[in-house]
Amino acid sequence: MIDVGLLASIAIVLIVPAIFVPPWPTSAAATGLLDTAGGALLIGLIVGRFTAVALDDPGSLTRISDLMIIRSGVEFWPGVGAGMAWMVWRSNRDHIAPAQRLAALTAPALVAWACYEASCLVRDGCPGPLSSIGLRPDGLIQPMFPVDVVAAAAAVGAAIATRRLHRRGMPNLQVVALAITLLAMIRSVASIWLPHIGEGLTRQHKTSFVIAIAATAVFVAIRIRDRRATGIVKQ
Amino acid sequence: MEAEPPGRRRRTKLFAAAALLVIVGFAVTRPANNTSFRAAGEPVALPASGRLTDLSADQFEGVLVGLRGTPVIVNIWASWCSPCRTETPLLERTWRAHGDEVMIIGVASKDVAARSRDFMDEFDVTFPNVFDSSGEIRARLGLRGFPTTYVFGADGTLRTTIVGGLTEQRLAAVLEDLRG
Repeated sequence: MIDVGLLASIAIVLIVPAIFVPPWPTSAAATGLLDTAGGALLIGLIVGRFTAVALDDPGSLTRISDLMIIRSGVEFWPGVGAGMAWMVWRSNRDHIAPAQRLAALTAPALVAWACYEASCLVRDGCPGPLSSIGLRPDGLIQPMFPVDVVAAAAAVGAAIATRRLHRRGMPNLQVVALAITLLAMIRSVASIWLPHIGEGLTRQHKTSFVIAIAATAVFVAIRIRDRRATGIVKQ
Repeated sequence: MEAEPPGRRRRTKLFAAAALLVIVGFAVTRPANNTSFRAAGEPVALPASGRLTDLSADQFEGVLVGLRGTPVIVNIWASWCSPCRTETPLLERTWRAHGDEVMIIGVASKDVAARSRDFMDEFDVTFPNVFDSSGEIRARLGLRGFPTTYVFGADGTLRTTIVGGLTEQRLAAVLEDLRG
């Protein structure tokens, strides 16, 4: 049985950033955007799925058929980490500074994530708290506020902001740390309103919250270090 | 690496945009799930939790009739079904957290009873389950694939059918919808 909704989501994630996000700096790209980012996406997906299965149902780790059902869950942050690690390895192989390539990829990556979130409209509908101004998810009767669509809009805003700051001279590592911070904050805040079973925070909420704090600390530390380095040069 | 000529790049983008429109159009216009099933017959007592009782389709419909007044989530599963392994713990959590407001009934179908019982033991399933040895229940509900979840309102109408694995968000949204 083909999951048409998921297929459409993947097509949106791959095609929309490639069409609408302006070409990234050629100095950071040995090949095209999809060629360079495709490997990171695939590695991220595999690691994210393995992690989800290891956490939820370790008995299925040896069953290929179970591992392949990505609709059953992919852990986001381990996937992001693996994708970034792959990108660093690939950049070193291409003799390009990894930070330069990662910074150039932040805007397309944020737009790709925004596309996935917004494509809930073609998957099962966008769940959220009951609201008179919301949309009606597939098969449900009550309208719900589309939290994922708002999160997608925030991610596009984050992509525009980080790209502008990059163009105005923000150092590469700061751009990467800022993008991760903004993404983790968006996911963390969105998780407050996304429906979940029972009381307490979901795993997505907890991990995004921890990543948001850690990425903010890293961003501040890099910024202080860069300013000090600039100050030493000026003196 | 040679740069792609602007005309060719434009054609590639147009082709990609057209492909995207076709895929999204297909996803948006896919047919809605069948919601015409309505249980009928004499009420039948709900089988005990934690056991796997073999029921005919008529008896199963009777169970649904007997539960009128309470929203019911019916999940059709099998021990060999991969997405069932992910959603069963989710359904169990839902049963433990919201069992006072919604009834959950598992239907093991197209399976060997002993394997279904092992599956229930593996995931510590405590919500009521029935065994569809004849395949009548899945036929009457119009099953298209494993797993499938049917959501009935308190008045007995089939509100939605979810074909494929459930996610926590989707299941929680269904609960919100039933409350609203």
